[in-house]
Amino acid sequence: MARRDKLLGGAARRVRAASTRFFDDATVPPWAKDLAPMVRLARADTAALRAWMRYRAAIRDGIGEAEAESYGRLVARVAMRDGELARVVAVTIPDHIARVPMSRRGVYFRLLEEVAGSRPEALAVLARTLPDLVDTMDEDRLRRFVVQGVEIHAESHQRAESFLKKESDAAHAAVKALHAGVRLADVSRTLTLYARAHCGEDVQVRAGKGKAFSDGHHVYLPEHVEKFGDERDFAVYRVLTAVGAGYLEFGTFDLDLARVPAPAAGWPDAAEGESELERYFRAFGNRSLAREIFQLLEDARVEARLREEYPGIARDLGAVGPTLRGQRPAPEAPAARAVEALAREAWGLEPLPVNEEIALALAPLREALRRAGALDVNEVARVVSEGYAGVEGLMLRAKDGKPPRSQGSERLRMPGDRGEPQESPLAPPELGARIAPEEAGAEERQREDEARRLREEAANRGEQLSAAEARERVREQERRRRELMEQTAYAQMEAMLDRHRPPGGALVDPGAERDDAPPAAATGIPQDPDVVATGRNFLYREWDATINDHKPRWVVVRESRLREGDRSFVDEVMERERHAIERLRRRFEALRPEGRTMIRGLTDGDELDIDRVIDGAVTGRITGDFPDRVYRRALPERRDVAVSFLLDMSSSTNEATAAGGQRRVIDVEKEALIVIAEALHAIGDAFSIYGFSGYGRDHVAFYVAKEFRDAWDDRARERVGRISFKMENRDGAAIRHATRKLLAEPARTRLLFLLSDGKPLDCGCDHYYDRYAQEDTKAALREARREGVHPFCITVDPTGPGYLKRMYGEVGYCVIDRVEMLPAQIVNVYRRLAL
Amino acid sequence: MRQLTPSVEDYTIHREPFYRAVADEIDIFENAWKARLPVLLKGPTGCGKTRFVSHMAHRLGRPMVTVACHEDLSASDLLGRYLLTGDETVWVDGPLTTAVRHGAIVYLDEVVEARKDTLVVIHPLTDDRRILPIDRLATVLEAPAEFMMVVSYNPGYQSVLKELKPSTRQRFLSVDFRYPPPDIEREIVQRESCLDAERAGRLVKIGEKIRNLTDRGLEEGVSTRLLVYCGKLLAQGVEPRSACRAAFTRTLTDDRDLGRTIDEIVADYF
Repeated sequence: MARRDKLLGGAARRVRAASTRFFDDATVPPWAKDLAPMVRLARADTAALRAWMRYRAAIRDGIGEAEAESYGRLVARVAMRDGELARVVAVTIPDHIARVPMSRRGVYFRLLEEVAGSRPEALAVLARTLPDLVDTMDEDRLRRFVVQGVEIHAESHQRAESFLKKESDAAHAAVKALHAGVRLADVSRTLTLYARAHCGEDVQVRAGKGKAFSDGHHVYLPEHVEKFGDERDFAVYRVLTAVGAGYLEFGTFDLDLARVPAPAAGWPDAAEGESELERYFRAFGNRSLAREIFQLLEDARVEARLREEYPGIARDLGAVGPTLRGQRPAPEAPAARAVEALAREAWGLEPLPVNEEIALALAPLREALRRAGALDVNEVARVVSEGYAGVEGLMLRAKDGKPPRSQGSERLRMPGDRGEPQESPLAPPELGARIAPEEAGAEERQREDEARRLREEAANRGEQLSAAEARERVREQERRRRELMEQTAYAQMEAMLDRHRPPGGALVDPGAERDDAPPAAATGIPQDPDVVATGRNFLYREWDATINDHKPRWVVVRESRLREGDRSFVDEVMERERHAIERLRRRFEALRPEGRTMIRGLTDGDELDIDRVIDGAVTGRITGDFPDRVYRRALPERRDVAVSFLLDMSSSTNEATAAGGQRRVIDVEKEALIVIAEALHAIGDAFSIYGFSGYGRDHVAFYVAKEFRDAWDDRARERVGRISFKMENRDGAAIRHATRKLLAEPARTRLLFLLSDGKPLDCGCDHYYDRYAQEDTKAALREARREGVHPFCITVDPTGPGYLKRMYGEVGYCVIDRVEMLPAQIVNVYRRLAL
Repeated sequence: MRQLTPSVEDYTIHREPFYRAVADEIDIFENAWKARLPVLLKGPTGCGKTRFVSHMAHRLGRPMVTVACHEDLSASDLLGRYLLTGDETVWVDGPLTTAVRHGAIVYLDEVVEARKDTLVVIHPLTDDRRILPIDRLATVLEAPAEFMMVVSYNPGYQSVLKELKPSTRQRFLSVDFRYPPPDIEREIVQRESCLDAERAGRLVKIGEKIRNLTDRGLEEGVSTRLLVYCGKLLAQGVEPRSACRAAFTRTLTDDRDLGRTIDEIVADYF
């Protein structure tokens, strides 16, 4: 140790000497400044030193000098406690720095340094998880949260990691406790409904980064609001939502350039998928400026209408507006000053004094502001287009005549700024939603194109079709198309089922052999963050077609339970498929026997119908003719069905569906599961949801999302949301295990639905593919059938109908080539088999 | 053997029930009555169907017999039955027979709830024969000119199983009932609940916004009746948000998010 010190101390001295020889002060290489930490590191752990030297340069060049320095300091600090740990830290941190947003890097390193001082063992976990956290809370709260996480780390690394990833219940509770304000996640559904109630259209509220904005179909709001610490925080959300919905309610997105007087050059031609607003903005030289002025005036208009229509919103604006719009800058540059003055007037703040030139330029815009509530969007567009020249003139003149260099440079962009970040000349207020038609997605743009086409056609016929009407028609068309698709799906399904009815009656159980395998030792499989292992393992046999016999105790199925935690997927599906789910639920409920159903007026039955007996006796007295239809029979009231859904979670489900687009097979399968689960929940049948994957015969992974005894509540939904693609799929073993679980559930009718892409495949080892795999799958299904379980296989992929028949043919199956039909198809199968 | 018919007094309407016309429904109904045609009223709950019929009955000077239809309604319930009183056997007329005898307007509310085999009883009254055969009495009653059959149903949320057969539907003239347009609805709420125009107007606007949520969580929108109930509470001085919660939020939904949304909409106006 001492010798190394001497050596390295010598090295350090030599480096120092070299540095003064070859470089003057101005060009001392940066790393030479860090000699002290370098030596410290060298003393602690040479590997750490090497890592540090390697990465430091990379960080400095790729990210920044400040970060590189912080990195060095951090590593050195850790090295003081533990050299080995310093090496780990030195190696892992560089990967994560890049994930931290620039503005938060200071916070990142500060927290890491603090933890390095108090509990360095937690550094690795923290370095990994902090980048995702650092943006979600302010520093003070973040520190408190991290402290909690680090404390947990002392007891359990796993729990600490789960905490810091905001996955565990403890984490959610902690986050909630730290926030006095309102989180969007808690209120987004309410706000979505509220938006819909206001404007009558299918608007969705979603979380967006930063400021609120609306693209005409969604309203993006900040993830939390904690300005006031009381119910005014929610009022902020209300106002933002009302404004976002207000753009739709009061026609902002119904801009029709045919009704706005065009500038000299005329309006630009509409590009494909372009909304009218985008087209409008394109006509201006300085797009940012035009947008800002338009936004101000249009906001004033919408706000005036909102105040008029909703006294409650007027009240809220009064309560929260002044605080959020309060602190305003006072720019010197003419155009910026002009816009600021206009903004202050629009928001009813203290006016900004302006010189005559600016006042002249602003005059028409101010005048429009005063009448804002009485205008429509086209008029606003006209006013802006006319007033723009005045304000732009201010800016250009300033540039020509030596612009006054005072408070920062003019932040207006020059013409042709497409694709560059939209920097606004206005310091954005915290209360206000931006109009952002460019954020609209592909689907919405298609709708815009369609609406435009309808209007052109109408114009050709000599009719007038307003923008709003055109959009309404497009939506109507979409609705009808969906209904039609569902009806076709039902029809196809019924035809398919007629050909593949499962054979009736159960055969005798030959007593298949199965055991509980003793818990096998860990096989070095990497931790799956999605599950909590239950430690229950099962041995199953496998059918070998080559020897025409079973191989006993061949496959190990390891059961584990999915974690909760992904609400967003489920919420989205529930919202999107709301109609379908409601319709299906109603259909199911209609077929559900309500209490006891009676068949009356029978000549023979379980019991006498007293009313009819009396009637009959009396009538008989008079007419001499005693009626005989006086019996009735009750239909059995309880349904006795148990159904398991077994979902293939192999990596092949990660592929896009045959229909293309961004949807993967697994997404569609999950969606279908949620839809059918809702319907089953309504009808009261017992159901369970499982998934399977794994690799190799030693490790078939069986995931439980919902057991029969679990309630179908939010947690179960979240577990379904967790389902994601994994590795291989050894169908036979999974089917056998699911069958076993299903048999443990008492019910008269047991159904097993297998959702897969029809390709049993396990490349983990041995030869589980092609014919071997298919034959084993077929055998497993046959065995299930013999036990009295009705399997039904739904395949979400059209490639390979030939072998499917061979594999599934003895039980029922169907192929879906349009995965959107999956939910409806599952439901129909269910109806046929179980009702 | 005695036959008992309930007295016509029981069914006469003495005071004019308030009804505000929305479209041409009064005209159609009056002319249908004159032409001796039956009428089917279609529409969501609480939008004035029953009130309309009683208004017309009063206007035309006829008594009105109402039957609330349900699963267990039998033909005897409509036509009548023999009852044993001590040693005597008495025939008592059912509501349908009573209405025919008195030349009244008979109103079968929620007709689709009744079983189909019960409903066939009304068929002979709804074609040009206008007769009511009563097997038990071995008679056939002829309906007088003033008799009229009116039925109602709510097409909104019928389950797959309960539908009116075309053979029944096609015997009627149909009148659509919807929630009235805002200014008429305001008038109705004002009048029925004795509330001032301004607050009645706000209630109507709230109703409008809540109706935007139909099919997106709400099975059925707010009915005019609920608006009137709420108006009555307000007229008595109940605090507005509290009244709306009782009349709208808790009545319409048990879903917590949806309930909160309705509360927020109310807060928009009160």
